[in-house]
Amino acid sequence: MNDGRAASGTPWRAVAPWLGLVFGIAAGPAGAAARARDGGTLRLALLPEVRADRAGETPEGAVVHGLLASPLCRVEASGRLTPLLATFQRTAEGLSLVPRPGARFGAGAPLGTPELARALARAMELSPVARAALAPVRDAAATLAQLGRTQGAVLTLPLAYPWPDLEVALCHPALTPWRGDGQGGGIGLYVGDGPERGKASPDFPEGRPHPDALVLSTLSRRAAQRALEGRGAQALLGEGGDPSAQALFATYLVARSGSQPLLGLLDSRLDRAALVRSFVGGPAAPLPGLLPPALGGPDGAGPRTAPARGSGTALLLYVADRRAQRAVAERLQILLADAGVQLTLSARTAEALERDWGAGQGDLALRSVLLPPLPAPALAVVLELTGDTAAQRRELAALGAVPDAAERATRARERALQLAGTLPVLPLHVEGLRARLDPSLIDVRRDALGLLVLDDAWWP
Amino acid sequence: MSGLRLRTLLLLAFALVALLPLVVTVPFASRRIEQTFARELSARADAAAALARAELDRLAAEVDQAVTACAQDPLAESVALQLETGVPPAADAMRGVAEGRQLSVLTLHDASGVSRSSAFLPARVGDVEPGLAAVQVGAAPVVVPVEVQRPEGVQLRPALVAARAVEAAHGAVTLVGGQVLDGAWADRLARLTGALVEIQGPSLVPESAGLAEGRTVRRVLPLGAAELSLAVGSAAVDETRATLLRALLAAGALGLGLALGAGFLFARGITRPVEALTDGVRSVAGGALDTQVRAAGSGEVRVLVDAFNRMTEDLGHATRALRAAEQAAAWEGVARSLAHELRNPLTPLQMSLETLLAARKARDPRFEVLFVESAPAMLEEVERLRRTIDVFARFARMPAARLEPLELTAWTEQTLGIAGARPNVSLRWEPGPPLEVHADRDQLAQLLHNLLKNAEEAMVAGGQVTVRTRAEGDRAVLEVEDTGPGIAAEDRARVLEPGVTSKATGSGLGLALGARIAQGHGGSLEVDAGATGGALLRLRIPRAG
Repeated sequence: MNDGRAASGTPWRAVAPWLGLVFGIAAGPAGAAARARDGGTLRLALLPEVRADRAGETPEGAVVHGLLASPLCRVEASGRLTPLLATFQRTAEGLSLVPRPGARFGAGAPLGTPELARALARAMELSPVARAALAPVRDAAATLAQLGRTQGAVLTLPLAYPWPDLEVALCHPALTPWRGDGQGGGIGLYVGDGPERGKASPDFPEGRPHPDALVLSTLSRRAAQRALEGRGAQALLGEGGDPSAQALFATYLVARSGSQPLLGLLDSRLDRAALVRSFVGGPAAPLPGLLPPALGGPDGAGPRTAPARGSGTALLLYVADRRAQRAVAERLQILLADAGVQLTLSARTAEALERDWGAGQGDLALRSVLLPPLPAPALAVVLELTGDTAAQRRELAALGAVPDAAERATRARERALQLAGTLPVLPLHVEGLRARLDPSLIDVRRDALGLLVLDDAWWP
Repeated sequence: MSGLRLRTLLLLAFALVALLPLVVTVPFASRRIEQTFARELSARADAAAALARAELDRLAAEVDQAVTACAQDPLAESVALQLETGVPPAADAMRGVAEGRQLSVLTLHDASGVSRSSAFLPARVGDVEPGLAAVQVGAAPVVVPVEVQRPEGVQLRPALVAARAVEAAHGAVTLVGGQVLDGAWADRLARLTGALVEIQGPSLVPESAGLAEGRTVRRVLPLGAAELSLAVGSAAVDETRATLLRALLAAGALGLGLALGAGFLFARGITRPVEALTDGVRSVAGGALDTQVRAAGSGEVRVLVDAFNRMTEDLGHATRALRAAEQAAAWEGVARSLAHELRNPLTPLQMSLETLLAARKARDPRFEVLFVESAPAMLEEVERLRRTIDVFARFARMPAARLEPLELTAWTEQTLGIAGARPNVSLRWEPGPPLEVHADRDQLAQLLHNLLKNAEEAMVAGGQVTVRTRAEGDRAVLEVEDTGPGIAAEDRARVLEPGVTSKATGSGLGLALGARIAQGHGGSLEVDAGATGGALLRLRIPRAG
C-alpha cells in the first residue's frame, strides 16, 4: 500500500529518498550513516480555539483530530468512499463492518469488533451526529452493547429500515474509534510522540503518511500568522478559509417545545447575512433552510416578516470556546432584548452543553454540527437535534425507501423545506473549514466534508 | 439614729450640689453638640457633592482626551477607511483601539448613526444606538443611557460619553466613547466621598455603593439621563456625639462619687461627736453618771462636748455626795433601829433587876418568888438581844452570790413543799412555765423564806399566801402575794431599806436582805399592792440564755 501511495504521488516524492541517499553518500561517512532525507515534519499552527476542540467537532478540530485518530472511512470529494479502518459489506440483515487487519490503537491493541462496537456506542453518547448516523440501526444502543461483549470477525449492524446512506454516515469523524481506557486513544496516521508531537505510524492500514512527523503548535493569531508566513508552519487552522469550499459546519438554534415561539420571534428579526458578515466571519454563509446550500438547501433569504414582540425570560446555552457561537449568542440576546425578552446567556464546554441540554437544562441552545455530506443523513442530524426520535424514524424510513441516491437526495431536500418552520430548530449559519495553507504545500486535498486530507502532503 | 439621719442628709446635700451643675449642663451641652454636628453633617454632604462634581469633571476630561486620541488612532482610521470602501470591519474591531485607554464604551458610527464596529457592544453592530447616535460631535462629554451586555441580559446604564469625527474618513464616521457609570465607578466614588452613592434614572439599572447609616443628609446631582445621589449618614457623628455625652456623664458620675466621698467624710466629722454625745447621754441614763465623752471636734461641737463632760463630772460629784448622804442616812437608820431593838429589852431587864435588887435589900420574903418569876423573863430578853445582834451580823456578812443553772418554777414548787405555814394561813401555788435562771440556791431560799415569813407575819388573823412564777420577756418573775392589810403606797419605797418595818415586831432587815439578794442576782425586788389589797412582793431576775 505504501508503494501504491508513493506511486500515486508526484515524481518528486518517488525520487526524494534516492536523492537523499545520493546526497548522503556524497556527504561522506557520517552523512552515509544518517537517515536519508524523507517526508519531513508537518507543522500545524493552531489557534487556541482549535486546540480547545479536543473532540474534533469543528472542521478544524476534526482535521487535527483525524491525524491522530482516523475515522472508519473517508468520503472523497468525488463521493467515492475510502475505507480506512474498516470495510463495509451489505447483507440481507443490514451492514457488516470488518475491521481492517493492522488497525491498532496507539498502545498496540488491535481494533476488533467488540472495540468497534464499544467505540460506536460511546460516540452515540457524546454526539448527536453519531446518534443520527446510527438511528436506522435497529435498537442501536442495545445492539451495540451486546456486540461490544461478543468477539467476532464481522460487526453486523441490523437495520430497522432500509438506509442506503449508512456507509457515508459512518465515515463521519464523530464516529471515530477511540479508546478512553488508556489503551492509546485512536488509530491515526500519527502516534503520540510527546506533547503536541506525533510520529508517522507505519502500521496505519492505509499506509504510512508522507510526512515523518507531526508538530502541533498552539499560537496566538499573530504568532500563528507569522509562523505561516515565515514557513514555520505548513498550515494555520482557525483563520481564513476558502469561501468556495464545502461548508457543512452548520449552527442551529434549538428550542424546547415551550420556547419554540422564541424561534419565530428571532426569525422575524434575524438578518442572517448580517449575522454572518458581522459576527461569524470567515468562510461562512447564511443558513436559511435546514440543509446548507452545499447540500442543495436554499441559499437566499426568505421573505422577511414584520418584527414581532414578546415577553418573558429564557436561558440560552452555548459553547464557551467557540468565538462565533459567543458572538451569535450575544447578538441573539440583543435581538430578543429589542423584542422584549430577557435572554440569559450561559456558556459551558461542549461536553457539558451536550450533557446539560440532554438533562433538560436551558430553554434554547446553540448547536453546531458538522453535517454529513449527503442530504438525507444531514436531515437525520437536524431531526436528531430536535430530540423527536419518532419523527426522525418516520422521515428516515420514508427516505430510506428511495433506492436511487439522487432521488433520495432530492426527496430529502424537499422534506427539509417542508419541515422548516415546524421543527423547534432555527437554522442560523454554516461555516467551512477555517484554514490557511502554505502556498508551497503540495498534494493537499479536501474530502466531501470539506476537511483537509494531509496524508500525502509534502513541500519542497 | 439622729446621727445617721444627719449623715444621710449631709450626703444627700453633697450629692445634690454635685448633680445640680450636671443636670443644668448636660442638656445644654447636648443641644449645642447636636447643632454643631448637624452643621458638620451638612458640610460633609456638601463636600461629598463637591468631590463628586470634581470627579465627574476629571472623568469628563479623561473621556474627552481618550476619545479624541481614539479618533486619531491609526487602527480607528483604518477601520473607518475600511467602512468607506464598503468592506465591513469585524464587529469587535474597535477593541484594539479601546485597549489601554480605560474606555468602557467605544463605538464607530456611520453617518446614519448605525453602529459599524464596537469595542463594548459588538452584538449591536448593524443597529442604530439611539443613546450614542444622539451625542453631538465635538461637544463636551455628556451622560447618556447606553446598553451594557451581561450574561444575564441587556441593561441600560448611564455613561459619560463624547463623540469625535474620524478625520481620515472625512467626517463620515463618528467615534463615540466614554465610561459607563457602573457599580465600580459608584464604588470608587463612595470610597472617595465616604457617602452612599446612588445612580438612577428612567429605565436605568440602579447602582449603589457605600453606606450611610443613621440620619442622612442627601445631595442630588442631575447628570442629564441619570441622577447622582450622595447621602451622608450621621452614624459617625452620632457615635462621636454619644462618646462626648458619655465622657460628660462619666465626669459627672466621677464628680458625684467624689462629692459623696467628701460628704461622707465631712458628715462623719460632724456626726461622730454627736454620736459620742448620744452614747454618753445613754450611759448617764444607764447610771454611769460620770461618763466622759472623748470626741474630736471643733467649734460649737467642741464646746458642746466640753459642756457635756463638765456636766457629767459635776453630776458625778453630786451623786457621790448624795450617795454618801444616803449611806449616812442608812447608817443612821440602822443605828436607830439597832438602838431601838436594843433599848426595848433593856428597859424591862433594868426594871426587873432593880426590883430584884430592891427586894434583896429589903430582905423581902418574896425575893425568892420574884427571882424565880423574873429570871426567865430576863433570860428571854437577853435571848432577844442576842437574836437581834445575829440578824444585824448576818446582814453585814452577806456573801457574794454563787450563781448556778436553776429551773425557777420547779425549784419554787420543791421549796414550797418543805416550807411549813401557820395553821390559819393557807398556801396557794400558781406555777408558770419552766424558767431557766442562774441563781444561788441558798440565797434564793433565804429570800423566799423572808417573803413568806413577811406575808405570814402580816396576816395575824390568818389568810392566804399565793406564790406564782411567770415569764416576762427576758426576765423570770417570782411573786408572793398575801391577803393582809398591805403596805401603804408612801411606805413602799422605804420598806426595802434596812431597819424599816410596818409591823410591830421584826428587825426591818428581812425585805432589805431580800432586796440585796435580788441585786446580787442582777435583778430587783419590788413592792406592790395585791389584788385583795394585800402586799405583793415581786422578784425579777434575768433568764438564762
